[in-house]
Amino acid sequence: MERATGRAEPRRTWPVGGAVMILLGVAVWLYAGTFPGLDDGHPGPALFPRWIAAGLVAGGGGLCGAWLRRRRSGAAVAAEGVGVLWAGLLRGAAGLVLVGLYPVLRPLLGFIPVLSLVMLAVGLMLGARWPGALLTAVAGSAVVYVLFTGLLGVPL
Amino acid sequence: MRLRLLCLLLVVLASGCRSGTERAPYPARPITFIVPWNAGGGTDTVSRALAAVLQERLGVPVNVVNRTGGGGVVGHLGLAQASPDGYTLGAVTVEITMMHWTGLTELTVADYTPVALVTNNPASVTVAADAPWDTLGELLADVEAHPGDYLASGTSKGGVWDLARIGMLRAAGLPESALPWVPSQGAAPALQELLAGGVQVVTVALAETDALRKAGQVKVLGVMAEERLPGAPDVPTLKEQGLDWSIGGWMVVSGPAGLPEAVRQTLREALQDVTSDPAYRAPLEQAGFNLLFVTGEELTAFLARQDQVNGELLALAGMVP
Amino acid sequence: MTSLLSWEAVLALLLGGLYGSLFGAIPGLTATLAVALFIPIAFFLDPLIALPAIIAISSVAIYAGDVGSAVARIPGTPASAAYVEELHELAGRKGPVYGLGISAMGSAVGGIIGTVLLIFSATGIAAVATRFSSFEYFWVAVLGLTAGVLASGRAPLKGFVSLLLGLLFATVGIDPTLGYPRFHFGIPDLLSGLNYVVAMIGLFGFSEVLEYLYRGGWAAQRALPELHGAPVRHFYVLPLRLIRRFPGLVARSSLLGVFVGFLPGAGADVGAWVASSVEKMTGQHDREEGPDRTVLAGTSSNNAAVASAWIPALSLGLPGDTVTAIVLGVFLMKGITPGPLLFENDLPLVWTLFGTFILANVVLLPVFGYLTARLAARIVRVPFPLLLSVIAGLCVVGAYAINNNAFDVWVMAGMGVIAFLLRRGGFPLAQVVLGMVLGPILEQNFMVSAIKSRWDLMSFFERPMALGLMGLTLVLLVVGLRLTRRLRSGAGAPDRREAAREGEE
Repeated sequence: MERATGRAEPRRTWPVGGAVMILLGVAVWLYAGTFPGLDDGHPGPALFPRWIAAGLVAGGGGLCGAWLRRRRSGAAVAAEGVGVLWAGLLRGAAGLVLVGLYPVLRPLLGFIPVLSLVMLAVGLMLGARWPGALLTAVAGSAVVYVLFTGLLGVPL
Repeated sequence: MRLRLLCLLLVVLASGCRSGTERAPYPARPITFIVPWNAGGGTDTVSRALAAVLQERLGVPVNVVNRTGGGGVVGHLGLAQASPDGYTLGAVTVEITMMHWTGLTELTVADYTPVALVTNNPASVTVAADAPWDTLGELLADVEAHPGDYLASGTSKGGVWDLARIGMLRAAGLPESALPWVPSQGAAPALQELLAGGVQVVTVALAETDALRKAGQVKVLGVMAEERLPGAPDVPTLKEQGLDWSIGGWMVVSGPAGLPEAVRQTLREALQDVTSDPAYRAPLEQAGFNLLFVTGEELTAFLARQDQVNGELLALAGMVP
Repeated sequence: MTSLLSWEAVLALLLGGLYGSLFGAIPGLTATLAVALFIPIAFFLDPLIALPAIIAISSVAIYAGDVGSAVARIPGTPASAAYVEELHELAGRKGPVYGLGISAMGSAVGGIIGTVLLIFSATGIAAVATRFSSFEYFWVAVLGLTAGVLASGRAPLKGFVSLLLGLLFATVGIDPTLGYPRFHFGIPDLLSGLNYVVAMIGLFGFSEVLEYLYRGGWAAQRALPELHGAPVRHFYVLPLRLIRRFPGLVARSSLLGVFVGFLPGAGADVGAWVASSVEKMTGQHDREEGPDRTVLAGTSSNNAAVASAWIPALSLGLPGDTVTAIVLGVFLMKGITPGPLLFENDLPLVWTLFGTFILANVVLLPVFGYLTARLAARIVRVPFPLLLSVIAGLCVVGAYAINNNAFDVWVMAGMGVIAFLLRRGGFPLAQVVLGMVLGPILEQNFMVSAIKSRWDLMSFFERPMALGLMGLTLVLLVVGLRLTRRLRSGAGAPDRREAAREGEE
């Protein structure tokens, strides 16, 4: 799915991804230090998170190292600037907020209206036409409602 | 075709938007029954059997919902936070008298309106079929002679079957470390370890050993109950073998704290009917569940006693911070 | 055998298949949930009707989990996450009917092999299963994780990092062995940990929605896969021909599925991962049919595992997964005691079970599989923005429905964002799910083993079966890394998947 950002993109993600993983690893390692040990002095609940933390640091370091090696060997590719689609980011954030509001709105407005709203908004933002998006949203949530509560016995 | 679809849509919309606020005698709409444990487990099995019969008795659907995880905290919390209108009920299990001692949650029995204790499944002392011990006395003498050599399992550290082990050792005058605990994910993995030779003793519910006991793969040296169970008359109690100790995994049908007395009364009567209905009893008893119906003062006293004893045992296990 | 022919049982089988295919195809609804919701009904039914229904539900639901992978890249089960990329690519290139045909036919053959082994060696395999202690389970989890890293193709390092993220997510909540709450930040809902089905919906489903929202729907014109010839040919003939050309592949994957199928909680998943990662590595030279073979390997091993999860349940009374745990509950309620005695006392019942398994694989999978595949082929023709809006709705509903917990909707959305970022960095997603599934198994069995042996870590290398599993892991690792290196140094050519993606544009 790296299409939008082009082929040079994977190169730049190695050091960035690596650095993020190293930071995450260090944070987990430190946080795990607050967990208690076992009575007999053996490591307890902290052991496994610390393994993972060590692995993250090692993996992140590996990513950075591989990037450095490749850069030094001259194999690196033009790190041409990759533009961020700000409008796209905005659309994504809007979708996220809608989904995030779903659990809050559902008890207030009822299942079908709120789910229709989410589906309608996503459809419109993706460029669907009004009537189609509205019909899909309302019919879709109605079908989901009947299917889940009626036929399958899953409460919504 | 399109017209029919539209009609269907309207009907669904109408039913989906109908609000349930009209005042009608309880119960007027479906009841949600929260089970804080996984589908397929003991609490779930009893709850689903109960719900199936209860919904016929009450005339509204009783939907069992598994709100799992957090060692039961999440489901218990969900029930405690529900509105006390009788439309959210749930299974409150023995863990409610344990989790607040270990600091996992603030929830206690006081956060619920207990309606009825419906099942209490005593722990067993189970060993492999080829183990050298034939009675509990032999096992405990061996444990006393070789403290720390044998291992026991059944659930996670500080779980109810761990308390069963500690209580048994305490009653026999042995320290907790004489028979160390190996945590397990539940009864089935613990029994698997027993068969594979990883541990020597398992203290899970007697019912959970049923299949292996009948197949001759394990032998049960005792059951931690006041009296022998009707489903397993050949298994002696610990009391008969000189140890005053009983413990079990129990489940109380409850609502959130502050359930109106009228609702409570309706439920109590319905549950009394259900728990004496053979359609509910027969299959569960076949499965080895020890079914009860305890309510009122007796239930309150039971819960208080459980809370106190489990706190003591958890302190012995080193689980109380 | 007469009871097998009762029309009620056949009806139960058909209805169970229908119910299972609905559950499997909707993201968030799992085979386990389907069986659990069926319990109150099973409670009042004769076991000779209830059990066939359960078998039908679980067999078909596992296959139907692939429908989401083919149509929208949303795997229905962790087992189908193992080959979601391949299946989706296949469905895009050769049509969903063909992709799901491989999935269904492979599932059926795997299921039949699993059932035959269940019939002839249930007690023998059960004897192996009883020898499995926490040491062996630990090594099986390690084997699954190794396969996961190697399955990530040209950049195993990124697969490794994704896997670690999954393992990290798995540590959220109450420590399952020691009871200590970790990484909950005071939020009670986090005490229960992150549910991997919820995570899967977010990682695969919602992230796709976010991806297209980011890039804009108008750019999302997908080429509709063309169907050449009759769908019957695509669904039955071509996949069966593929199976006939690679009998060894199917047999190997199915056996793998059977032998790890009894691992509680993740047998089918580990089987599918190991089988498809072996196939991905060895089949990499084959650009044309590589994905076909990977899907075939994964799908046949996970359905073989569905049958083998019943082996310890029937012969020992120990459940291999949640579905069989529920089945044991039904058994006990009906007064049937599983275990060796079952084979002596209730022989008709045992034969009904075996017969049902065969029927479910020979009749149900091909029939319901065909219907769902035709439906899937229609679904892909829905205008893309509308399809995505429905997917967004299903993600929300599915995440909510699992535990009836609003918090899970937020977890799902959060996972969608994480997946969006991981995709930008070129990190694989399926490995995150594998880490979340295997993390608890790995940790618990390590801690249990360590406590049991009083922290004598040499004990991990003492038992013969544990050593054998460790050896298998090492062989996989060595061979896998060598193949990966050869692949990477082979040519600067982009790997198959990237090529396919670029072809899509």
